[in-house]
Amino acid sequence: MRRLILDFFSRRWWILAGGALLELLVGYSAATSSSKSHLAMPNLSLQIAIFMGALPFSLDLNKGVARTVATLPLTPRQIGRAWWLSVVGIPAVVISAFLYLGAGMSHAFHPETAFPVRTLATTGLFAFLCLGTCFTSYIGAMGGFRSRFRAGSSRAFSNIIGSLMVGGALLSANGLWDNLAGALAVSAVGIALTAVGWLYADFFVIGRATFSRETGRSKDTARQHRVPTGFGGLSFLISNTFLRGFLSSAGIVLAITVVESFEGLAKSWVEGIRLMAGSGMSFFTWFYIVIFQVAPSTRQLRLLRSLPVSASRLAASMIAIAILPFIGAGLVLAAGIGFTPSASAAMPFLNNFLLGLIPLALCVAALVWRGIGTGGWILMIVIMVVSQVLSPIKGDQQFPAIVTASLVTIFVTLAFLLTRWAILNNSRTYHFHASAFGSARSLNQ
Amino acid sequence: MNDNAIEIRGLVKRYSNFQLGPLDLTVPRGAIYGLIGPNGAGKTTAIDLIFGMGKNDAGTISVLGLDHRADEVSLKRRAAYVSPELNFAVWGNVGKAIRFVRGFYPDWDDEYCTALMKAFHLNDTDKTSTLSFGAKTKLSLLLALSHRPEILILDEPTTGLDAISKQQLFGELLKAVEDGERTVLISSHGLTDIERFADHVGMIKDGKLLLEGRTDEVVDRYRFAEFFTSNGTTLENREGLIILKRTENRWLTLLDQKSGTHAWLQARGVQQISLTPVTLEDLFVALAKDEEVA
Repeated sequence: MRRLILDFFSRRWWILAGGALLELLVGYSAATSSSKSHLAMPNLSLQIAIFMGALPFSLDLNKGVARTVATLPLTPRQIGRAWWLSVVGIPAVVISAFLYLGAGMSHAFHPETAFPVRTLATTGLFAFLCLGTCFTSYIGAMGGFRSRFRAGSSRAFSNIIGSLMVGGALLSANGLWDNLAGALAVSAVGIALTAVGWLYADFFVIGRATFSRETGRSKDTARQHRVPTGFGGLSFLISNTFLRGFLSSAGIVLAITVVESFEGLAKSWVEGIRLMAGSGMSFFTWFYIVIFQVAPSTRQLRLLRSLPVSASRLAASMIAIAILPFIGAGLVLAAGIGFTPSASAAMPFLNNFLLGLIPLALCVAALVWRGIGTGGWILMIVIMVVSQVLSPIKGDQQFPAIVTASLVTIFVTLAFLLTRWAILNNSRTYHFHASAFGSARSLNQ
Repeated sequence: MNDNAIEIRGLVKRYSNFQLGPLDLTVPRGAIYGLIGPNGAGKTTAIDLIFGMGKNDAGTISVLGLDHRADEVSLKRRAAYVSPELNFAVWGNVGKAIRFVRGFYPDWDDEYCTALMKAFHLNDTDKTSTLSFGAKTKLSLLLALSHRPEILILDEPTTGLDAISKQQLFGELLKAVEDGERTVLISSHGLTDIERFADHVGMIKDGKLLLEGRTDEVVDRYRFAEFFTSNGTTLENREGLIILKRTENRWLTLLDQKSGTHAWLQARGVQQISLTPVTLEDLFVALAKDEEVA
């Protein structure tokens, strides 16, 4: 176990170090600034935490490390728990330590400010629970629970619970002391899921090891060897991904709204939706689309590039896959608000929500340029952090619609041009098409 | 009309640790061209560049008389690409993958596609994420063949295939090209398959083309030459002669019969020259080894 943990950090130390530094800064600035910044601390801190756990782990999984490690003379439990410690336990300790260190440094220089002990404690706790939930979600997403559930339900369960828990943790950490009962309920779920991750860490290895042995052969003899009918091509690709993206986008918005209402942060669901769009929480919506819509499509680029379609059309399609479901969800939610007594909130909501198109489109360009590797992840984190840092600007303010439309048009066009450039000139992305389930192929001449 | 299906001239692609080219490659129309070379030789890079996966730093690529960048859509409509590296997981099942690709080709042949599905034992409801390595390659080949392309480019299609699947793959390929109008460019490590299947061959190593020509002519051009010399004779650095092994006065070499080296050896008093034919694999190993020594 010790060797696996040391190996993990010898390769991924820089992510832990970068995260620790950011947590130090968050702790310092939150302790130095106003009470409003205290509220922003858990939000930023937990997002950094997710990347400290999920990012290095997914990088390793994408490179096929699980299959290799499974052949070592270690039990699945040893392997699973070594990973749990590497991506949950140790990062959680580091996060808390550096948050306190940052706040302590701030207090040393500014002894007149109150030491935010409550916020630090809740942030540390929820960071741990977020990391634990992410790990458990991964087990489900990899089909690790397949011996208990069918693979599909296992993944759906993991996605829903994981998203709700992470969103809930963020909100609970913000409002823990305002609604203790609600936050305790979220904490209880988080603790249970984190414990499941520890107890069933071996399922992770078992699930992955058995994955490739499945035949996937159809038992439906009536439909054998039938060529499908209906339209195909890029429109099929977009339509095939639209519904999933639309439902998940709208679903995440509604889920966060439910949690906000449950926590008492919003007086009505309309206010909850508006708050979510304004506070930068729409990050979850576009980031979900990037991970579950854009990333799988990026892995198909080798196939897509071999088809008779120009680089411009391909770039436009990649952008469309990402932004159409997001726009659809925004329009439907705005229309929903429009039919309520708070109809006047519809346009402000849409105005803020659609600003999420900017980071979303830029993430597409980043992924197409750098592939699903370290470079792609780093770029996405930069985009995420910048969009989060800028989100308070639009939080209580409202850009005029013309400004929003102009900004979105400029940045989506820029993302399109960058994506097209990457498709035409970059060979790197065509070599990153490993899936979390399969082996990776390195850059090969 | 140009007699060549693919013409690559002065192609260069630079990476930090590798350079392809300058590479000249000519694939005649109707040929089955085997591109062979060790791992990391540059085969995949060359093929990727044909399909616009990356930008060449210099040189030109012409396929069926079309420029690979200016006419990329027309080119890809008439060409097809097969690789075990293609990923179909996003489609969920075989039927959806077929439906997607089918939409790009107005001349898609449903009947032929069905026949290939039967031959490859692929059902439209089979899950793409759990297809075996061989089944994925078969799906890739099915998608490529079903629109009856004029040129078929296969990158390491036999990797990971068992003997039966390999035979099936070559069987379908042979059927597809039996009219003699289709061109196939196939890169492979399976030299025995290439020798049997390909009528033209190009050998590439460290990004450079070592030789190119009709397979029978290339193989016929070289011979293993075993001979004896008197003490102190040196034969190194002679063009057309690759020394494979030397034990005192006994030499085992690879001889290029077109280089005039046979007569040169006789003139130098070499005794008991024994020539034996080589296979493509022998040739490949000998040439690759010679480069390593150099």
